[in-house]
Amino acid sequence: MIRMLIPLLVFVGLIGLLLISLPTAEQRRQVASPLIGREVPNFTLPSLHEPEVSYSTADLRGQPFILNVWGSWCFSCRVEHPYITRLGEEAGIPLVGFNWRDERDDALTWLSRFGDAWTFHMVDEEGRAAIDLGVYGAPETFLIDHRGVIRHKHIGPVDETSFADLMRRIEEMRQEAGA
Amino acid sequence: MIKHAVVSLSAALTLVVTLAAGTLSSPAQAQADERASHPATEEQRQARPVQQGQMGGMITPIEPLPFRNSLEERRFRALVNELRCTVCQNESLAESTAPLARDLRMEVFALLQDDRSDMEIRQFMVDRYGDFVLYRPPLAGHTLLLWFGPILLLLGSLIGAFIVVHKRRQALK
Repeated sequence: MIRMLIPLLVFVGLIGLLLISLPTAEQRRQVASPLIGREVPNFTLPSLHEPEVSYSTADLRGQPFILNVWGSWCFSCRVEHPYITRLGEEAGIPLVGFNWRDERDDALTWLSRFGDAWTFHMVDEEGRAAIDLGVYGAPETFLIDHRGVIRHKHIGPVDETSFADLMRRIEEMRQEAGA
Repeated sequence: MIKHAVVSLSAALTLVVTLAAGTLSSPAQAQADERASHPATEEQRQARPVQQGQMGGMITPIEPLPFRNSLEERRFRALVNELRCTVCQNESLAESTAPLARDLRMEVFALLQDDRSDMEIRQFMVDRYGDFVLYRPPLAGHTLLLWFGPILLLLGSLIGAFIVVHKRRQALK
């Protein structure tokens, strides 16, 4: 009697595995960044609004900041735009735009159409700095603390839940920087 | 009689559920792929930069590159074949037409020109994208089950089979 239940038990086990793995499938697709907990790579890139001016990640040392990877070609960036605008207004720390593989004119048109709450934008036309950041799709949002350490990376558009999570982490970083 | 019914019923159910899981996961996958946006390069808008590959006229997305010698070209091909395209996940850098894959191929080429070793180039990618970029994962504590799991399964089933055969032989005697 017990013997003939073995195939049934195997079957129940399989069902169990499926039930556990299906809900987390989407989560597993997101590649955990090995950069979290490490220093933000140093790169110098031209500004979007003034191409003759350049910004470097080293210039931002000493204060926490947000780095938001976007492009005018990226639909999800438009979806998250209201929340990024709120970050710019409410976070109280610099919100740096990382304009990835975009055309300058397209990017400027996009900003004038939807609004520009970023402190400034860096332009990575070639995508070399993006590789150093381990970027693999836009939008991505990084939180970097006052010591220049990458503390968090949000992949995909920011929504209500992730906005609250980002704000909580930003508050934490601000307190650390103030102490 | 009942025993046979239970066995065949559970086997049939397993088959159905496996098939259902297979069909269920594909729309979810497609949706996830749509959600991630990727930049379209100028070349992509115009035409795909395709070229006749070396493997029996198979089409590869790899653009022609000015290699210094055939060894460098062979190293390049070996590297892009074992590095995963992180946006597409189920393609290697050699197979993907994604703009990021193109950027990463260029990075591999630039590192080769810079006289870096294959090991250093793989490490460069791992530092940025994690072990996930490697199609051959490293042998480490958290990958032991991955590497030796199949052997354990094989050994386990061989032992199981041996026990069953042995018992039946004993019963025949």
